[in-house]
Amino acid sequence: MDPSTERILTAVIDRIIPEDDYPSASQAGCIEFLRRLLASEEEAFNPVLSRLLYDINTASHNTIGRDFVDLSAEQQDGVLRTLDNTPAFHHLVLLTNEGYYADPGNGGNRDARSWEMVGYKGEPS
Amino acid sequence: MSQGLRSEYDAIVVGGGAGGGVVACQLAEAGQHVLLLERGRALSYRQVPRDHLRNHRQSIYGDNTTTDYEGHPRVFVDPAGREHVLKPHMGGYHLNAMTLGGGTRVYGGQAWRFHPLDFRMASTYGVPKGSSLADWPITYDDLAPYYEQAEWELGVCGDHATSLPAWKRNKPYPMPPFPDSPSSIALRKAAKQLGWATQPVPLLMNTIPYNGRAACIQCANCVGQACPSDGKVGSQNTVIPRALKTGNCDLLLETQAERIDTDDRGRVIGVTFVRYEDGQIHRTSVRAKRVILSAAAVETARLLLTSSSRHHPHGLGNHSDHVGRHLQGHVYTGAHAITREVMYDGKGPGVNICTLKFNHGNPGIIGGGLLANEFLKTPFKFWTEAPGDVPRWGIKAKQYMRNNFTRAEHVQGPIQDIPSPDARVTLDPKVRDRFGNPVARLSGTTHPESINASLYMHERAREWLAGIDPVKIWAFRPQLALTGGQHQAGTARMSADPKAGVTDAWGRVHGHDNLYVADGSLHVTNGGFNPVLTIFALAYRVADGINKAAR
Repeated sequence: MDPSTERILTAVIDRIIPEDDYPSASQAGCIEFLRRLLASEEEAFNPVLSRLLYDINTASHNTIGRDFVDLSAEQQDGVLRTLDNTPAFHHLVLLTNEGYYADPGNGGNRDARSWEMVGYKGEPS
Repeated sequence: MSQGLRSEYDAIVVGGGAGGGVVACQLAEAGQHVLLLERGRALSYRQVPRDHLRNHRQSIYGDNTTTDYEGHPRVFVDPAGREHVLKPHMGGYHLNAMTLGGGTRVYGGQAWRFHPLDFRMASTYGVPKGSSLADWPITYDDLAPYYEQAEWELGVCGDHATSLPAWKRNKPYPMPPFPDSPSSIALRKAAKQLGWATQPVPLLMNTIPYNGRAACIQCANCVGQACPSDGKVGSQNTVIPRALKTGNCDLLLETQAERIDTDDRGRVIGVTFVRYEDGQIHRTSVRAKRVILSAAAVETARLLLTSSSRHHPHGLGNHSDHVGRHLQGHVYTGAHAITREVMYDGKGPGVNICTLKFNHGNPGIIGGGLLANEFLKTPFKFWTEAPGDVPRWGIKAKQYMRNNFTRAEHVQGPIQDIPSPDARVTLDPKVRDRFGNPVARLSGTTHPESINASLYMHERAREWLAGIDPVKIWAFRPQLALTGGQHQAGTARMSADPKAGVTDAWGRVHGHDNLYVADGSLHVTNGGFNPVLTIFALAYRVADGINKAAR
C-alpha cells in the first residue's frame, strides 16, 4: 500500500470508528488488519477500494476544494455521508468493524481494547 | 499405509462424528473388529484457533477445523438457479466440520430428544402439497431407551423435574443443569406472566466432572469453538477413545471413503478409500462383513450415489429415488432485544432457558419449534445483528456497541423443517474433488410451510421478549432457502416400505443385509430441536441391531 493511499484510508477508517476514550480504527491496528486481508482473502476488493478512495477525494475537492486528509473531522463526515450508501463503502465499514472487534490475533484489535470497551469477558487463558 | 490393517473387518464405519463414534464403540466393545475412517485430522484444543472470523459459528474467511480448502468443493444451486462452486467454509456448502468428532468437536451441544409427535408428522398434520412430510417407521417409545443410553453414556446435563412430560423419562439427567443467569431469570419471569412453562436447556456438557473429564469452565465463547476444558462432550473425547481402548478398532485419519465396493451379485463387500500423501493419491480397498455410513447427510448420500454398479445403476439404496432427497436442517427464527438492565455476565455457555410450548399444537401451523435464549455472543457477531436503524459508522455506531453489547437479548429456535423432495444432494456432472470423484451438488429449498411456521414462531419470540420490558425489539425475516448445514438430515430416510425410503427401521439399507446408515441421513423429519442427541440415539439403536445380528 503506497503512503498516500495509506494516509487517506487511515483518515476514512478513523471516521468509520473514530477515537474517543477508546482507540480509533487505525490506533487499534485496523490498517494492518486491512493490509493482510487485501493481500489475501479480500484481494478482489483492492480495485474497488482504490476507486472508493478516489471518489472520496474527488468529492472532497468538489465540495470543499481540498484533499480529504486535510479536512476537519466534521467536514470528512460530511463528505462520507454523500458516499455512504454505496456497496463499496458498506464493505469497507464491514471490514473495519471485523478487524476492530475480532480477536487480537487478527491484527485489528490491539490489546483487546474493544472487548474491554463493550464488556466482552474474553477468552480463557 | 496398509501395514497393520486387517484383510477383512467385521465392520467398516465411515465417518468419525456423532453416529460413527457410537457405532465404532458399540461394535468394538462387543468384540467386533472395526475399521473407522475419518477424512479429517484429530485436532487438539491448541490446534483449533479461537479466531472470531474463522470458526464454525462465523466462517467469514474460513473456519477453525478445515485444513484443505481446495480439495473438497461442492456445487450449490441457489434458489434463482445459479451454480456456485464453493469451498468448505462458504455459505451454501453446508459443512458440519471436517475433523475427528465431526460437528461434535465444535458444536453447542444442545441435547434434545425429539417430541413423540415429531415421529408422526404426517399422521398428525397431513401432508402439504409438494412436501415429503412423512411418519417415521419407529415411534418415540422405540427410541426412548437409546435416548436414555446416550444421555448417560455420553453425559447430558439437564433438569428432570421440569422436562417435557411427553418424554416419559425413566431416569433423571446424569448431571444438573447450568445455573441461572440474569437472562434466564428475566425470561422465566416473563414466561410465567404469559403462562408459558419453561425449563433449563439440556446440553451435552459436563456441569460436574463426568466420564473422567472436568466440568465446563463457563468460558464466554462456546458454540463454534473447541472446548478449553474438554467439558463439552464430543464423540472424540467419549466413544472414540473407548473404541480404541478395546484394541478392536483401527482408526484411519485423513482418509476418505471413496466407494462402497460390491461383488458381481451386487452385495456389499467393503470400502475403497483414499489418502493424499506427499502429493500422491494412495488408494486402498478393504473387505468387511458390514459397512456403516456415518458421513452426515451430504457425504453419506454422495457415497451411496457414487457407489453405482450394474446391479445398482442409480447408486446403492436408490432403487426408489430417495437417496439424497429430503435434505433438511432447520430454519432458525427468533427476535432480538436491547434490555434496560445489563444481562451479560460473561458466564457461558449462555443458552440456559427455553420453552417447548410451541413445538406442536400451534393453530394453523404444521409443527413449530423450541424457543431458547442464545449462546453468549462475540462482539463481532453482536455487531452483525444490529437492527436496520442503527448507524453502522461514526461515533454513534461505536457508542451503540459500547452501550448495548451487555444488554443484548436474543430468543430463537430451530423450526421444524417441512421437507421437500426437491431439496437434495446429487452428484455434480462436472466438478471433481482432489481424488477425481464427482462432488456433491446441492439444490432446492425447504417447503414454504416451513416459512409459515417460522413467521408464527417469530411472533412468539417477540411476545416473550416484550415481557422483559426491553428498550427495543427487532428481527430478521427468514428466507426460503435450502436448509441442512450443521443440522443436515433426511437424505437416506428410514421407511417401512422400501419404495418410500432408503433404510428400514434399524438403519439397514433396503435390499441389503450388511449396509447401514447411522447418522442424520436417517431422519424422516428433523423435529423442532437440534438433532444431535437423536443422531446419537439412533446410532446406539443401529449398533444394537448389528450386535444382535452378529451374535
